[in-house]
Amino acid sequence: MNGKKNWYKLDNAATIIPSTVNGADSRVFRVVCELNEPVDRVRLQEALDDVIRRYPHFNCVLRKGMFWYYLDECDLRATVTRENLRALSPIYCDGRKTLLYRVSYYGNRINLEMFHVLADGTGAFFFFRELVISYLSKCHDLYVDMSSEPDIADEELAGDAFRKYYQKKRGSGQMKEMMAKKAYKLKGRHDENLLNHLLEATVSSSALRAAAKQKNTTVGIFTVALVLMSILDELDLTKKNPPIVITVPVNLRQFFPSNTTRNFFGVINVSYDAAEYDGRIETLLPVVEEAFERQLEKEAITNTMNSYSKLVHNWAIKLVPLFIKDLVIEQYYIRTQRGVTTNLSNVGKIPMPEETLPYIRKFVGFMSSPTMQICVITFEGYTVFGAVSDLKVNTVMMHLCRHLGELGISVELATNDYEKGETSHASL
Amino acid sequence: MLHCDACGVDIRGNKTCCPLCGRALRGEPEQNIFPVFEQPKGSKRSIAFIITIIFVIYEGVLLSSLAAGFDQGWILVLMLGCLFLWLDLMLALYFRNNIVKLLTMETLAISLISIWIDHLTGWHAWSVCYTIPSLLILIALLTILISRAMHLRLEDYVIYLLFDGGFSLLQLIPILIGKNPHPMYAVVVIIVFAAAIGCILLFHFRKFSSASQKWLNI
Repeated sequence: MNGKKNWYKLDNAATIIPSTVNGADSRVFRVVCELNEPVDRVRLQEALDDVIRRYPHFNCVLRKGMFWYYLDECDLRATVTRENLRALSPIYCDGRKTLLYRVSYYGNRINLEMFHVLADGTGAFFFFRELVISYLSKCHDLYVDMSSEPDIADEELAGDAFRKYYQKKRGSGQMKEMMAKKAYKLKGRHDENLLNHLLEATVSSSALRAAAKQKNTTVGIFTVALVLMSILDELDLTKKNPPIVITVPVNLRQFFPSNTTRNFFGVINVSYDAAEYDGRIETLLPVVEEAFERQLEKEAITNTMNSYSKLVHNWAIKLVPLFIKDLVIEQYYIRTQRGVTTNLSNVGKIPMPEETLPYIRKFVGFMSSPTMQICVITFEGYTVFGAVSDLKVNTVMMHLCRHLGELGISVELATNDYEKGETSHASL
Repeated sequence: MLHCDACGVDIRGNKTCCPLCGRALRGEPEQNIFPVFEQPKGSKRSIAFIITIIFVIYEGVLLSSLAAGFDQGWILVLMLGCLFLWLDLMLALYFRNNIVKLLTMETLAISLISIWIDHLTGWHAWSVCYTIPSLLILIALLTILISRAMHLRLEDYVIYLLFDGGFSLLQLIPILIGKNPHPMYAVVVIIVFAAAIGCILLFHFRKFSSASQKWLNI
């Protein structure tokens, strides 16, 4: 890798990310593949070395320019390690020349943690799928027929789709709207060491689908309504409460054809006034459906995307030195986050080649967030809700699991807390 | 597998209680799926916060001594020294992960401080005649030595050399307005920097161009 090194401008979504790393919100996400067998470190390293060649834009360090951050390709080699850091620990440290992703393993699980500057969840899964396929092929001498996989050029993987589809016209004003509103904030004690607490609730995907079908809705809308109901459960409904706002990231590749692995997502907001709640999920479903329908129209999505892109296309903003931008963006982000109660990201189904299915149990996703973020991922028979927050006791997840139980869906829970010998729940 | 009757969930691993409600669990524990890390002891206080608190206390003590009528001259010098030390530590903390950038910023800070002190003490021109030119030569040598030791590419540190070169040109201002009675040393430094940057442009133009494109990307 001694040839000419490329460098990359950050995409629109990534431009604000380095400035907004704060406390537990390391802007790192984790995707996990749980296998049915223990992970072999040597094979995983070989697989990583093979796969990363196709993703040179991941082998970058983040550097500061006069006006913007940029990604600089480097010769550093990622080393697979046994998980030795707490989940979602910061990856980017200002001035330090380190890669922006790490691959680790523990027991049967392969973990990929990535700084959000490099990719969004969908983009990371492009890479992670290839890594898992390559690993399993090496371990079991599998021949995986990849002919059905789309043939994507390397330039396309590293392309900036925001720039490609930006139209110079009025944006949706979504950011201004979020800054103006004050949403309900989840209650509870925050971790004094700014550590992220992970909860992973695994359910049967067919049971969840059946429950959604019973309510005449889709799994995506049903899960948002369930989370909304779980937040409402922790509210004192006799008092006036600010609206609950759930932010749902939307994969823009569904609307604008792109095979980029870099960030290409927008968000839609589902807002609900607790005063209208009568204790039934049937009351919530039409609200969520209406919000999805209205905001997922192509024109609304285009306007929202343009409103994000406007920031980096504005010459007055472009010419502001980076150290000032950092301060302004940080404050701007804090203000927009006032209008968010929680984030729910539905990654959807992870398609894997038939040959690899016997070896994989499930996929899980986690994303750090200033409040709480739940990632929902479906693979074969399982749907997993991966929740992350710095709250020591996550009552929303407790209500969510109980609601799932009431629907007759059994829940299998895992967490990175409450190990034997650790601090007990009561003292948290 | 463990089970919580209150929440109706099965729990993987070997847990002390239900992670959702805190109640006791029944069933057989199994192997954890997350590694167990020792909980950090106490909360992390930012070093910057601690330094600032010490600085505020120290300045407060000096201010109260001033109010009590102690020798004003010495106390003011101590207060000023303390302020500079605080600013310098903040700068060092901010740039701690990039030694070359830190040294460049330190040079700039020390140069400005020396000009200010020279001005406060009746302008003997020692700052512009000797201190700043010496600092510039020192920083250029350190930048090259450290970058070589750290195996940095020229693209990675050429911007700092250019910044030092631009800063060296500012030495012309005191010369032109007659504030530098012994300009020889400053002029030599300007020529050295101009020659060095000229060489870089001549022999490593591509690297220089690549570094500028990245650094000035807009």
